[in-house]
Amino acid sequence: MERKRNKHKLYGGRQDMLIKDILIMHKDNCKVAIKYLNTETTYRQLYSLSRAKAELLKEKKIHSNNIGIFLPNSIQYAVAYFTISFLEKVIVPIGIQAKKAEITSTAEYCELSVIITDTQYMEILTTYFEGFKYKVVVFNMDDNCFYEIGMEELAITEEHNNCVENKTAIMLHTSGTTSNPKRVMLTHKNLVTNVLSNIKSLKLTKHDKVLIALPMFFGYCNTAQFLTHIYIGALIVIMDGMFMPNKFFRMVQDERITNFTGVPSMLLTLLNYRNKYKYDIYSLRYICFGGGNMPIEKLKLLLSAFPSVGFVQTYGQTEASPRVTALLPEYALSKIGSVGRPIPNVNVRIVNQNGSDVGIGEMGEIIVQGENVMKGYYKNAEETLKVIKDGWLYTGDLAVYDNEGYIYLVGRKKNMIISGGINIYPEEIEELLMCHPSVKEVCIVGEEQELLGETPIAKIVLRDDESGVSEGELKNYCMDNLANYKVPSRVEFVKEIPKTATGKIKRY
Amino acid sequence: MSEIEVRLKKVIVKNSRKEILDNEIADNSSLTADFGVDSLQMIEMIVDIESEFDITIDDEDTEMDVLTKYGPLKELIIKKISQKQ
Repeated sequence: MERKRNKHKLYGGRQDMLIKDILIMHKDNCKVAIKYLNTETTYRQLYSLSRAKAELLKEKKIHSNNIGIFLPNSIQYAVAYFTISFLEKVIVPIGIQAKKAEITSTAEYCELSVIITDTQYMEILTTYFEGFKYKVVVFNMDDNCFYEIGMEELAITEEHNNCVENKTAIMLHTSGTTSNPKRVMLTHKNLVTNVLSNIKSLKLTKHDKVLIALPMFFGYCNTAQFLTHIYIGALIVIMDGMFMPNKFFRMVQDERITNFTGVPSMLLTLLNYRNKYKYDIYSLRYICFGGGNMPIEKLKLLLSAFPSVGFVQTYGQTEASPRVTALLPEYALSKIGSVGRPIPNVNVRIVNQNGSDVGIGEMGEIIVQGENVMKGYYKNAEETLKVIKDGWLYTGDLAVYDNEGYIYLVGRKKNMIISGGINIYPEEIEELLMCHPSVKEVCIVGEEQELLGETPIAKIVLRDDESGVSEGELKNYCMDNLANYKVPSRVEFVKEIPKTATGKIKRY
Repeated sequence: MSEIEVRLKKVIVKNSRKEILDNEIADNSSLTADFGVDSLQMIEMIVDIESEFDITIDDEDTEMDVLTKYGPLKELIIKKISQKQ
């Protein structure tokens, strides 16, 4: 009886929970929590396993606050995630696509003294960390073995908090030049608030079954899919390997999936898939999508191709944990092109350059307030102050309201390129290319691409026209140092790059 | 190199994020790990392969081991072309 009452209270919205409490709520639940390939784990097993791994790691007396995860989407990822939560440390996911320089700079910047991985990724990590001067312990979840690399202890930044729920729970990567990295610190309260808002907004229950195909370390997946469904005790089914439309339809049919979240490019592949009507997808209540522009004509085609599915257009930002607005299915046609209205517990305004609210139809910047707004960028107070002013998060996204308060995105203030739903920051690619001996100046811009939305292209001024460096060499140089999705799809050699009066690159 | 291989390699070169030459593609090459082909490029590549060879790659063919390795992909295409004739 007592437990039931507590649970009810939690569903009503206790924001002082920690991430580990989300799993503790279900520690006696024998229902399957996660399915991946031919394996599954119950909530009880997920709890026990995470606790056991946490006990093992405790023995290592980890002096750093932050622990990395280098794992693909899998049950292991979920176990590693909660292991770190039980240790009351900060989760720092690292995408498995990351290359050596990206991983080692993350480890150094985030002061990772431990990285959790499995046998498959162990070799990559140990190769990448060869010669790394700082001491890093790599923990292999498969055999529970520890491998120590490097000697020198990293200097640790202490986190000061007056209450535990305001402690950082996870640090997610946003833009990342090595000289000016931005790691978003999301607190336990940020995440739990956004989880509760999602549940309320989409009326999710323990009977839901979610299909995860986005990387689990994406803010979009971390909160709106992974934590939200663990919170309500629902079933999570993880897609193995690459996203393929046939795999999506088969899994929705076989597992009776009720909701899915994807980026526009994924949805376009569903639309173009020739066997889309061969499968029974009547169990699917929602497809949530966001993270890039969805052309209205394509959205109309999706709505008519899959009339039994409710399409939910969402808007969010990693800095807002991430979800900010949603356009619910009942308004999908009447408000087509809108990202909807703020979800519960999130306040949104659209303001002009003076910080005053704009009128209906006038363009301004979206600003966001609520317990979902990040604590700040890790070790980067200057960048934090640029985006959080008087408790409001300045998103850099430009939008207009209609007369019923529905929000329509119209552009971005930032230079960001969104390719296949993934944010790419031109500065990161530019910083790398500037290190190439043949490159004098570089400007990375987004170019429209039908499936991906945008793709990065590089405009390059060579130091010496006679250097003979080819487009291929420069692309391969990027490929060796950056995750594949950041590699420019083409290189244009130009005589000069236009600049503003202050000498900044004129991108458009 | 057979005519099929020449045409298939041309499609792979077009869809690879990395700048590669035909002769760098070997039977054990991984299109994902070695040439940076991601999920969405893979879907585009399948469409290109289908139109290049006028064949249909079925759902059951799209098991990742077949599509992500050059050798098995080549074998699949040869099989599809012979079934067509």
